[in-house]
Amino acid sequence: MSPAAAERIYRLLLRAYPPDFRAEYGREMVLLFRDQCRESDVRSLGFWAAVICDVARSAPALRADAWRSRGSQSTQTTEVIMKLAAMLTVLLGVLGILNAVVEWAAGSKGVIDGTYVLAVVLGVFASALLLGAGIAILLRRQQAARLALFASLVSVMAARLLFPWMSIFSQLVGFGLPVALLIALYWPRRASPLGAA
Amino acid sequence: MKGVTARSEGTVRLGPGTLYGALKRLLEAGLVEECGERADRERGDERRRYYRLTQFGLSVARAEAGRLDALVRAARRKKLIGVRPA
Repeated sequence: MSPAAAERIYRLLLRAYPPDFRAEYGREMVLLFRDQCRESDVRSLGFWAAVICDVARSAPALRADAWRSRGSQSTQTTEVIMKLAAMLTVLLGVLGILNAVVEWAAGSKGVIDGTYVLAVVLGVFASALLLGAGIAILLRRQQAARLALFASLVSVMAARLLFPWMSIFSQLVGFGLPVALLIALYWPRRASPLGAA
Repeated sequence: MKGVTARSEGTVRLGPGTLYGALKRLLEAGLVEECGERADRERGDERRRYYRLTQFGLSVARAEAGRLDALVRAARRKKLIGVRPA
């Protein structure tokens, strides 16, 4: 086997390494391999056993490093998404409270039913809890956020049962947002961006 | 690579993958730094990158050598090394 053929085989073996690592050190590795080819017998079994051992020993560790690095980048992205979701939750919580106040003012002009009053109070309570959950996520209080979201969900469910004419938007926000945030908070992550529970 | 093999009396044989894998980690840890690229006339003028130990890397190497020295001294005191087998 000629050194050029050996180099071609080594270039194929280099594919075992992560692309970023190959781009950074591939050329140098080939140069070092060329040196080895000059100084050793490329036709010997021992030479190829050493080459394959080197690749088998180093490539999986570097692949694992690259995978961990990608995982850490994805954790940072998740953290940013959670912060944006928390801000949206705070905003929707405030809007929910304001909406309930407006509804109360509009409803108070006519005859007020006790069930309606209870539904509005539960709506305000759910919005306040949603607001609290958003703040808890921003403050990295994961357990507090989970509890507030559960309580908000229960309040909205009770309000919906008492007052079935709840708007589609209120139902989407009242049910959809806490469920989505609870899924996100319980989703397994290697390094939780929300810190200690 | 030849230097490592010679210094370890043939017990450690570094391949390009092991060498550059270690170099990548050392660079990331700030223990070594790149000190330019130049052609190697002995090897067909191929351009090669060169690396050197940083000040931090030197401190770490000294600390590690000190730790190993203490271990060797402890092993000698316990007569684990440096005595002829009976």
